[in-house]
Amino acid sequence: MELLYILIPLIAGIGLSTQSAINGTLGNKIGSLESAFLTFFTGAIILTLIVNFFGQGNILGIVDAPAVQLLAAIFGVIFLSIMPFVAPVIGVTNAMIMVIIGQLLASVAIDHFGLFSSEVIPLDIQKVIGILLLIGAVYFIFKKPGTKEVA
Amino acid sequence: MKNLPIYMLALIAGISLSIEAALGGALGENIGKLESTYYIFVVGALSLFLGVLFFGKGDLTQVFKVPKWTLTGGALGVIYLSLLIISVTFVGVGLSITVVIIGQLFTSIVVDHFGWLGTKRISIDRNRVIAIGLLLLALVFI
Repeated sequence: MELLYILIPLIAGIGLSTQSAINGTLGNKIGSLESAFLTFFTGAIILTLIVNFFGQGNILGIVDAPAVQLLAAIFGVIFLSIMPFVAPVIGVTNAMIMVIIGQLLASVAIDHFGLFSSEVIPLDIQKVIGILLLIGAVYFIFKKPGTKEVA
Repeated sequence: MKNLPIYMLALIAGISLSIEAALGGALGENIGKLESTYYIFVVGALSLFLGVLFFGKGDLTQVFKVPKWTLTGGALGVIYLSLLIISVTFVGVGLSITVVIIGQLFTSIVVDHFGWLGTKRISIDRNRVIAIGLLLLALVFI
């Protein structure tokens, strides 16, 4: 049963990488912004149905929600507009490694400063070691055998 | 190093994804988790409609001609966000994110290696394996 729960986030991760690959291919044909638009557009249609049947919250609550939380959508737009442009140039793996490093750095910063009304979780020695390892990972991505450029 | 700006863009994409998760999560506390995701997709679609209208250099009409499987990005986005939300309630944020990242890396290596889904074939090399190893180790510490 435990194992089954682990499969849920695993499929989520597989979905995100697959999406980046597919949107990269689509973006090559119709444009990056156009690909991001279609992703949100078709996603919104699917979610209209899902929210109707399974939604337990109140979508009208956005009127009362703090304005800063409404910026979530803009950052989603930034992610999905950049990826179809980036993935075909440097490959899905390198793009994902950079994305993950960005995610981890940002989440450490958000925790440390308690940004966006999250709980303050200060930087400790473990996290510093983690960040140093990330920098090491970046070094190896850029270190190419010889002078051969993949692109 | 000529691709450095592209790598920086990917980094910004990752930073945006974390900020989206933090803000979207907080919004979800207020209006409901599915509703928060829904809001993000609707506003995203509307603002990108303007973006395409004014700055789009591509050709949206091609959407009727491209293979249908290339249009599944939206469904995959919904799957990603919904499963992430469900997972967090079962196993917590930390374990969820860790497993998501493992799924991301594994899939992208396989896709690149075999050139699936219309991508350019990029074989695994030693440097990438080391980079991924360091990344997974970093995950343990962070």
